[in-house]
Amino acid sequence: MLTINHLCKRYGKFTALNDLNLHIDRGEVFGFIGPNGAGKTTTMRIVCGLLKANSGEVYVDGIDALNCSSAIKRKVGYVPDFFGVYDNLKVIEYMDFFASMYGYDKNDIRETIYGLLELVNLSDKQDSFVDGLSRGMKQRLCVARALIHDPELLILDEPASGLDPRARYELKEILRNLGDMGKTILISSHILPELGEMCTSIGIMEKGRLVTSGKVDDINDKMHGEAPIHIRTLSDMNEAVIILKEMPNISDISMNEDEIIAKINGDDEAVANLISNLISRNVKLIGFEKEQVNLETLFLDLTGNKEPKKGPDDFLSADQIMNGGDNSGEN
Amino acid sequence: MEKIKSLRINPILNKELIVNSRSIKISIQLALYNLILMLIALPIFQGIVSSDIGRIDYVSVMQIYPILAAVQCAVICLAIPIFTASSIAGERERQTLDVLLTTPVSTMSIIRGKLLSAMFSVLLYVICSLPIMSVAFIFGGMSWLSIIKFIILVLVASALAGSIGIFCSSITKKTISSIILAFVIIGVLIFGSITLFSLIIGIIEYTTSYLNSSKYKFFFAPFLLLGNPAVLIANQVITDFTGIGIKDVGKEIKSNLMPYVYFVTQFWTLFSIIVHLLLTKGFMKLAARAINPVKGKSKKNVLSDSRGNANAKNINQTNKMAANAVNNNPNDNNMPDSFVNSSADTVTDNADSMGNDN
Repeated sequence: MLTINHLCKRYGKFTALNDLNLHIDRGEVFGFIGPNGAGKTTTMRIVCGLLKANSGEVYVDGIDALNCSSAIKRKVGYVPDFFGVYDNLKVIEYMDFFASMYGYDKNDIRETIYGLLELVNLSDKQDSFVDGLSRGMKQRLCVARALIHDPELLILDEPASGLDPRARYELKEILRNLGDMGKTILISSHILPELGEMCTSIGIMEKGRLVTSGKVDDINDKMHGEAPIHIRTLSDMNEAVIILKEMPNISDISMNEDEIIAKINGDDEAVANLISNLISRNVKLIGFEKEQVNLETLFLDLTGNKEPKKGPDDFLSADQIMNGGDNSGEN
Repeated sequence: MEKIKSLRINPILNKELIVNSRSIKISIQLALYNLILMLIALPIFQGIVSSDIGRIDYVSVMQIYPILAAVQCAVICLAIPIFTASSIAGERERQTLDVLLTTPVSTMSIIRGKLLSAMFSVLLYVICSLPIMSVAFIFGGMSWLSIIKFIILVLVASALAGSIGIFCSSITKKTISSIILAFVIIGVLIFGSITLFSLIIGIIEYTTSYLNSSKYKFFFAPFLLLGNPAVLIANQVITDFTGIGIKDVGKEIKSNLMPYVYFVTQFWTLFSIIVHLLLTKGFMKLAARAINPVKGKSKKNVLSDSRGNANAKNINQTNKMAANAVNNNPNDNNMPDSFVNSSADTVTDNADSMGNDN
């Protein structure tokens, strides 16, 4: 549905996009993640024909988007990160206005407009003034507006920013519905956990490049294998650490006040073995779980972005606690 | 289909009309405008009536006409840049321009809609001032034709001023700088052309006195004034008022004019309107170009289209394959080492800091 090849964009000396390659299949909900300035908005604006690329190719549904921007405009619906409103315009007039911008006759498309307002839960607001709506409602109206010409590709730039949890939930439901309807959706966000729930695929951008992309499940699976386990015990944790250290497939053991965190190399069998081993050695196990990998962790890992870390006092490596010696050989 | 489309009202114009009709601004502006006209007309009326008790000199009522016409032109020249200044710059400030540009409506249509909506405001001004203006017309014994001519010329002049205002709005980021720039351009157009005109005549007069030929006295200089809205309207008003205009002046100094300059003076208003409309079109094109995010594509577009259609499928296929190749093994190719070898510490750190955030 959307293919981007070797896309480059420079603003003066600043390189916003550096050889970006991306492919999104039809019907996918693709999440674009990246820190501010990574080039997410730039990419979206180029796809919408709002920005000229320096080099590269963009194909939407097989159509060259960089050279036939007029043909693209009927295929793409764009919701910018900032919702601009017109004073003194009612919701229904706002929709009528954009319908007429797409060349529809007001009377022909009324049913569609009502349907869209229904979809975004704004049916009862159709006679309200646009500038009087709450931010979440404006955002939903903007989504309805972007859908008026039944685009195949819907592009949303930071749709969840500035919304309260309820508005965010509603937006998410709408997007899920749209995904079920078979629309291809490209979302950028910095609210990572939400993208994980909404998207079928994600791509992580940094400094104008796509660091990685793939199905959310694949990435989750991959990450899940690597995920550390959290062990909580009623008895002395140091005993448990000693046992863990004896086991060959356990690495990276660390502990904090109430739990031990370690990595296990192996499948679920190895995990089961570990549990039975701990119990047989009279460790009073009260909690044992594999850490849920989320996109935030993945994102921070991949972009190497050191978010505010906890102070060193909060975390002590298990080795330091035990004997402070060099234990790397054991692991 | 095309015909139906062109008959339909410009969507931007339609929206602007709805918005303007709800705005209190336009009512206040109209009230102020009529107040200004009244404050100017009333003393003149009073002077005429009370100067000679029992007898009203109708001819002197005519004095009102050039004064009101001048005021009207001045107000329009001042008001239009202000009306139009926010047309594009305001959309930019509200960040709605992007959304407009993602629709299939051409940039030229957007500009046209904006200009038409400004012209509608001017028309509203002109119509609202008609009662006061018509007093001067009717008591002064002027025809309906003069009123209609005057309105048409005001609209033509306002179209030019409006297109300049929109052009300025499209190249500036802020409303206020747009207003200032528009005033400068309109000032240059009105006063600059007159200055240049006098300068050229002065130079030619000075040099040709040696050649002893007067035929080149005006040379091309009068053409400079064709795009001057003040000259266009002043000529009409003065012709109505005194019966003498550029046409008559041209006849008088025919021997001093080149034949084609003479020809133009005989149809001055017509030529001037054409020049005004061409300038308007030019400024609209510049404005449309300024807001077009992907400019300079016309020829390349056609070329790559014909080529692109033939190969579209092929290209797409290869692209897909290439993209899949990249996507299939993201871990091997694209992921940095830290992903694979991430230590328990960083993972837990991150997880924990996230937990705190929530």
